Amino acid sequence: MIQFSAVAKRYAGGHEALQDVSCEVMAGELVVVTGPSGAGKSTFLKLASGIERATRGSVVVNGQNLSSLGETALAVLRRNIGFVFQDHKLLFDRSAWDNVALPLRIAGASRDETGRRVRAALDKVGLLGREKAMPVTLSGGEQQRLCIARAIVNRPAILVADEPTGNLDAASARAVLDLFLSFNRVGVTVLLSTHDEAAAAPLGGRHLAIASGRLAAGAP
Amino acid sequence: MSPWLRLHAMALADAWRRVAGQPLASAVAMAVIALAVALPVLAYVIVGNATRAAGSFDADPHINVFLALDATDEDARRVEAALKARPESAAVRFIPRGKALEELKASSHLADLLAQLDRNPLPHAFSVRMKTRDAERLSAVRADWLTLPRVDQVSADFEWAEKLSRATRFAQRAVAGLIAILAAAVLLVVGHLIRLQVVTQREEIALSQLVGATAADVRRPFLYHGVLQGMAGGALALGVAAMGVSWLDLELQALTSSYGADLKITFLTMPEGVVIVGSVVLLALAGAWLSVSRELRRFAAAA
Repeated sequence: MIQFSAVAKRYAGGHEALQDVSCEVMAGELVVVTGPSGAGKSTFLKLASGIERATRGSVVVNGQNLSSLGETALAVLRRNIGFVFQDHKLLFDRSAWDNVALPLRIAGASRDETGRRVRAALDKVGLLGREKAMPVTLSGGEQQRLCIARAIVNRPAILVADEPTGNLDAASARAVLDLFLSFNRVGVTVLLSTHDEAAAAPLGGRHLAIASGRLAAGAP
Repeated sequence: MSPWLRLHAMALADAWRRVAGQPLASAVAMAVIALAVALPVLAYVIVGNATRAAGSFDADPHINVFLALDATDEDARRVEAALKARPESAAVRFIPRGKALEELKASSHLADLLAQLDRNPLPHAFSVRMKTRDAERLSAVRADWLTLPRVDQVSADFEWAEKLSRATRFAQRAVAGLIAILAAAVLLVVGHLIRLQVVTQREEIALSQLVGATAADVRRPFLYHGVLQGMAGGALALGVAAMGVSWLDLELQALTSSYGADLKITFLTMPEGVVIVGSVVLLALAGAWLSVSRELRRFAAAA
């Protein structure tokens, strides 16, 4: 589903975030990327979901080599990958409903379809009653789940989450991880990162450890 | 509805919400566009009317030859033959003194005065259209014809026609320059308005791009916003120009009726109006496009 071959990423400032990373994530797999802060986990996830481009090597997602795609094709590819951002990236001047509906608006979905899918996504994360709420009135755990609802509203084949349990208490973290497990159970490829390996242990799945921009263990 | 059509409908609705959401800024932009467009439109209408009026005068050089008051028809025939013999003459028109009087009576308010005269004060005359515009040759011809027997006066009224056509060409150029300057103003006004919009929506744009919006998706509502502003501003400009013209027309009517002439300013034709509003919309679209593209490049560089 996702193949990294000798991938390197160097940022404009000269910082080498990833070096010589090769690995493969199979369809329907659940992969946990672990490692200390600044090891390159976020970069790995952004490259895997077409948000950023590799400096060297190739990233192939769903059979498409991302480095050969133009900006427009890359944007369209991102519609089929749900991304849960570390900092949520919710629009605070929009209701919960509008936040979740954004990806559907971009894709030009009809009103009926948008209504159906937004309701289904909010229902899945347990926020169906809060659709009119503004994000500031939601708790940290609820904001995280709203962000997940937005990521799954397009029914993507791949779901990527960057530190989804980062700032949550144990109970909320558990609820969020259970959500990812339930998506994985119905066939969604799930890729998530955490700096707290112990918290991610109950998830199972394969663990990829990244340290100083290099893959440490668990690859192919 | 196809997704493509729906995307455009949603972009238009978005644009309308942005216009309606900040009525003051939208109204100011519309007014600035309207004034910037109304000015050259007004100039265009006035110069167009003046050019048409000037064109109704025969701009070919003419030499008018007036015979002495007591010249006979026989004298006139002899002079006519001499005039026609000149190679510079293109056409010679004889205006018998009786006909000249009738025309004068019909075309002026002097009928009463003329009726009191016991004899016709007008001489036989010829109006000769010339083949050449060369001032030296024309004045040589004029001098020659002055020496013909029974000829009293020879007037060459070609210089003012030449001057008039130069003046109208100058005015047309001035209007073209005005159009170019104010078109740039429309471009800048719309560009600035859209730039402010893009900057305030920066967060939403960045997020939209992350979840799959293409550059075209991001641009679309802003382009519609520009088009809406352009349409409103262009239409308002025609209204302002129409009011200006009808106000000028009132003055012109009052002025010309005292001279017995009936001049009327004609406003734009329907196709001209469509072309003007269409051009303003295109300018607004271009301004919006440049502005969004520039801001998106800046976002990308900052990210």
